[in-house]
Amino acid sequence: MRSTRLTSGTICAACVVILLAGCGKENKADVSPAAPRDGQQESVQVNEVPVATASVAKPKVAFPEKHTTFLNTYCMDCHDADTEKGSVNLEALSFKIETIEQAENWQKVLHVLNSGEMPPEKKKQPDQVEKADFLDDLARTMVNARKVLSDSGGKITMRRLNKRDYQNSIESLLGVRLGKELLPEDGSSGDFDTVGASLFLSSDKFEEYLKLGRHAIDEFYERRAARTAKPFVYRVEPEETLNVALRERVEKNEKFLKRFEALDAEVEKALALPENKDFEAQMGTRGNRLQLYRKMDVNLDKLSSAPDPKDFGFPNYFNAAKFFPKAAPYDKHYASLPHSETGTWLQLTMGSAKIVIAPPNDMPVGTYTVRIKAGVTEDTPAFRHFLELGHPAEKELGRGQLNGFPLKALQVTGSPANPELIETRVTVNKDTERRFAIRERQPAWGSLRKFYFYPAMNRNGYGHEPSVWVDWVEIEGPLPQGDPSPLDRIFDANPAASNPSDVERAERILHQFAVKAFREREPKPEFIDSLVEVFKNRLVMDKEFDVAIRKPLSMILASPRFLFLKESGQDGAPRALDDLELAVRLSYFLWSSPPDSQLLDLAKEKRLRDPAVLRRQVDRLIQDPRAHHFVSGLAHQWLDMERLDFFQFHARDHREFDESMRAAAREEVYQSILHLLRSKDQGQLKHLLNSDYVVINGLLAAHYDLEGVVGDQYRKVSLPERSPRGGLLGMAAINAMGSDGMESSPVERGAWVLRHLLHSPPPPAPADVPQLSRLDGKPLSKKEKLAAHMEEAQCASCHRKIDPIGFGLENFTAAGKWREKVGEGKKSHPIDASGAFHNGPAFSDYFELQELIASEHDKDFARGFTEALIEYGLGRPFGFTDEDLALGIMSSAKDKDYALSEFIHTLVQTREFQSK
Amino acid sequence: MPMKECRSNRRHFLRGTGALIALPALESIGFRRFASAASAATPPKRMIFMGIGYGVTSETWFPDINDKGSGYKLPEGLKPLARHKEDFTIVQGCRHAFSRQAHWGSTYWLTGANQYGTPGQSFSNTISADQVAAAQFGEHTRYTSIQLASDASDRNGHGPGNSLAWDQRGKPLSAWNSPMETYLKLFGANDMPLAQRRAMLAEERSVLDSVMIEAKDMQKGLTKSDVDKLDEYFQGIRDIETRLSKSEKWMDVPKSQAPLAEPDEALVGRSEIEMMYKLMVAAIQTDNTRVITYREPGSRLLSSIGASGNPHNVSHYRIGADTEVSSKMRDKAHSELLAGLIDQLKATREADGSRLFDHVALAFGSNIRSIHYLNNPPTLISGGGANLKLGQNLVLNEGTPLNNVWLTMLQGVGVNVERHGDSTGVVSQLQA
Repeated sequence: MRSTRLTSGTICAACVVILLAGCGKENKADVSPAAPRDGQQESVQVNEVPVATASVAKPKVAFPEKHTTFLNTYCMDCHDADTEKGSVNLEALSFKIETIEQAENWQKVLHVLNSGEMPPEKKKQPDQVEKADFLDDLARTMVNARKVLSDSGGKITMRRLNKRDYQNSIESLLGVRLGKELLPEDGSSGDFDTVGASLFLSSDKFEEYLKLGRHAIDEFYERRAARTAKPFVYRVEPEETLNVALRERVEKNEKFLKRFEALDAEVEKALALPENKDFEAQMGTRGNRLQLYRKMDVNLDKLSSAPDPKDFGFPNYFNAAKFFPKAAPYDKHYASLPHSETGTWLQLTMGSAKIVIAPPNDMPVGTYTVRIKAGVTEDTPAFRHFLELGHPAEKELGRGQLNGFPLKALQVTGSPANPELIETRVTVNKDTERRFAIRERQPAWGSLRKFYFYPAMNRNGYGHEPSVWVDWVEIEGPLPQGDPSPLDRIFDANPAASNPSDVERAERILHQFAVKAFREREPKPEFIDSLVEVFKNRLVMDKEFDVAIRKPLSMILASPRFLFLKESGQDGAPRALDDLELAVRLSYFLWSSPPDSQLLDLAKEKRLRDPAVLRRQVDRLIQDPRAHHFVSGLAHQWLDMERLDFFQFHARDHREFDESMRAAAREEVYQSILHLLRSKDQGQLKHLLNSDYVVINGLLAAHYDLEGVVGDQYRKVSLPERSPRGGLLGMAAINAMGSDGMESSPVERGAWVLRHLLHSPPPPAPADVPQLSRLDGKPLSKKEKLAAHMEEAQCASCHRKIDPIGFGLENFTAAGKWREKVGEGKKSHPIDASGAFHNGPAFSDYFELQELIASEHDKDFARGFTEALIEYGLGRPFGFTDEDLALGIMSSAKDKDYALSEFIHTLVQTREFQSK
Repeated sequence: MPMKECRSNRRHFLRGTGALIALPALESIGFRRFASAASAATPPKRMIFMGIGYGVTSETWFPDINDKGSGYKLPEGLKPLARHKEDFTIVQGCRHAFSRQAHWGSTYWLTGANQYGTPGQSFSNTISADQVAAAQFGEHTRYTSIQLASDASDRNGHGPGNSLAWDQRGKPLSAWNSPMETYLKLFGANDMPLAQRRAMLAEERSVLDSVMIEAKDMQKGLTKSDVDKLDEYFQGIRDIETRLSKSEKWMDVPKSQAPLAEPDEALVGRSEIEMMYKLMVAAIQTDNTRVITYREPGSRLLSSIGASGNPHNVSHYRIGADTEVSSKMRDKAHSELLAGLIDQLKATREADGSRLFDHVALAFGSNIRSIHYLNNPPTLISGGGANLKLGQNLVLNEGTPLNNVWLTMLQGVGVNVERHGDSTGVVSQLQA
């Protein structure tokens, strides 16, 4: 199951035709003798797997003997031992697949059948169902064979800190949180990012770590200096800036329009002259005065008695057309709105679109409070009741652009008559731009004017209806810092005054910091000596202690004992982790961070391996805010959420799926899992398949048309009867991943359900399956595409499982909104989500589909989760040696009704988790 | 569509001098004069590989296989390259026998390795053709090889890896992911005085010595696979040591100006590729390196040329559908950009007055033809540096190992290598 996730993305329907998007990513078929799925006979024969030890017999993978008939009927005429056409002798091919060579030979058989090369056209052909069944079995057998052949035998390779671990480790040492965009990428082979074998290190990365370490130390110094900074408050009253500019625009527009109208009246007269009667027709601009003006200057000789634009204050006609203020009614309308004396109605896409907060003060690094006093009108739809806070774009100051994505979305609840205070916090790092801005929520891309402004102007004569009104915005800070970081403490404990010399002081600081950075392991004395040498040289150059010490400090952060999680071991004989190693493994598992003092103390007292103590610690760790790192790290990879970032949603068709929505949708998945993890009695995994509640904030509630949820905090909300929400299938993130940003993709969704909910992943999309050219040039409905998928055995072998499920989810748009019909106007037709699992039960709509998955596949789902958890937690791909481990965890969790936390407890208590 | 996050922090970070193992940004035209003054008359050979992930529009990119040899009719997708028709060859009929992943256009393109070739591993790879060349050309230049790629979010269609390049152990090599980053690495300013640079260099050496103390100590008590893992660290340190030695040699060589201005950081898609091509020419012209690979963006290109669809859907184009239009738009953009690159290579002169083009061997293509087809992947060869027979539509026997083509190019530029991956020999029809 390593080869899972190897593709970076969209994966496709190998098959066919018609790329609704994609089928089989890679796959996760399993080697286990688990319950048959989809009512099919399990095609893989596996031996019992003994407990994971270093020398487990590998399970044997075999292609079922029953398929001999197929081979005899369609292949052996040419490829038996006697004929051996093309030097291919299938009689010599063992049905047991034990070597890479055997696997390669079977892979070739699979390939020639998929590509349609064999059997040759002139020869007898298998019927479609027969061929589909054969291909289905063979493809799954290959997946299993590859898995067994590539199994590492339970070996855990030493892990380098991944991006998340590194960021958190630096933060916990220095109190400095490095921006995500600065961190080196991990991604390459597609395993989980905790899998040591797939986390590489190269010279480039080493240099980046060295540089990043220095960057972090520099910022650490800024933070230290900021401890004594005097906080300030800076407030912006937009009526003093934006409203003034707005009134100026209105005045300017009016003057312009006056001149323009005067000119135009003269043009009108000229056009009315008989000798000019063909002029407009010649220009081809009948009825469109602005377009006519654009052509006038060069054709002026053809219009007799044409007025001179200079008499009206325009250098020429083109200029008059070019600067004609199309937004004049828009500005005028906004200038006339009530409450403009005390605040500003935010415009959208132009004009007073954002309020910039640029304090003249120095802004030391730290945390700041942003307060906004604002109100909103009830006349606009709920999704327009949000502000976005971010950094303003460097250019185009007059419009709504931000630099990058919004930092936060903030719900506005008061009214202009009765505004409410909104408060949030922002972090300012060394490189953070010291300017902020708020605007009405909007997509980050797309022709927003074309999509929103002009249609609104055509409707009401001016443009977007006003929605959000802002009284004032202020920023206050820096707020007092929290507990000092370990490095702060080290500096505090070693002040210049108490040390006889700079060198001695440096030595102490470097030594103590190395111990912290190395997670309580002693560095080699020669290492500290060499750091001190670097310090001495630096001191000559830099003169100041506090500058010279930075280089050797940053070297500690690029040294291997910090970057790698070392666990001693020997080949062939697993050894139990010592308490300290266990503390490290545990905290990087559940926090992606180094152990805190409580864990370290228990480790030093050698009490951590006591099962009761360990259990209490796990409970403590998952209640801690840092458990969010675990949930996001695991869920993002387990559920293939990378895909959520693949597409920009179309700003016209899916306006609500903007960047704030994308962030909220992702967070909903994490928060739903966190809720289960931390729940005392309602933490059953099955709630992810179907539940009568959701864990959402105000923004998602607006998306889901749920009322009464106000504010930006996530909380549990009960659902009304027959709500399609509740469980992963109803979440915006999952449905959006099953789309291309424009349309829903039943194939992508169906394959996702098979992979992640039913634990029955389709095999990898095969190469070289012929695309049906018969359908070229024909527009096909989705159901017709489905039918086409069934036409060819190569496609049907997977798509008969994928497509029915995918079409069962068609009530969700690409953005995850609920819909009853598809298309617009006359072309629209109601959605028929009915279908049946391949060789399984039928469902009449989405609700029945969801119910069937929840009731029939809860164990499959738990099994998939268990495998993901093992890979994430142990830092190696799930392998055949883990079979008993998985069964053990499943059965333990079952005793607690599959409570999510129980899976974690059980894994942590296993020998596998506690040994190297 | 590709995601754009706030990049300006990253720019500051890359630009900041600070503590990076700040290899002095030594100008290398001077270095070349310095290092190979004796052989200034013969400019060095260079290799460039450009991979596009998902393939091309089969019907309109490939010349007719019955219209072989020179004088073939240029198909629609290659039309923008008409002015260079005598200077490139389309090679048809090849295939990597072990390649089976229909969405991995780049992972095995230059290696031809078997994903499952190593027992006990679900993923393996072997050295890529560019690295074979780099192993022999790299010692002469500041960068042994340069890998270019695009934003990390735009990997769709390329498959695993950080670039087109894989080292001799089959490990992925990192890339510079934007024109701005590439520019700063190549030409970023460094106005530090010489004496200080010497001191810095000495310090970097002691940094390496220092972390090696820890690394060696850490080796104790590790399992074999952990020792192998830690070996990546050692290898990284050795690579930097090599680079430091080179820096030292260049220490006295005066800097010169970058041949182009610093690129705008907002370049996306078409303009991004165009700028990368300029930087590629600048990098080899200044002899910063002799081997370059470029893993080109897919979705960023499509959106920048106003083509609808995402790279995967477009790769499944259907005749008569929007996806076909997008697919052809993408092909056209690629050919126009490539024609521009060839223009530049021809216009740029070497110290001896010859054209840079005459000393370069370049390949453009992917391991994927189109849709899910891995047979006859698009392969365009150009440049006068490998003594190849250009200007033809070369149709080889179906299933000819693509590695034979790479081997022919490698030998053509003078790399001493007898085989590459599963190659069975050189392609004699490709040799002039």
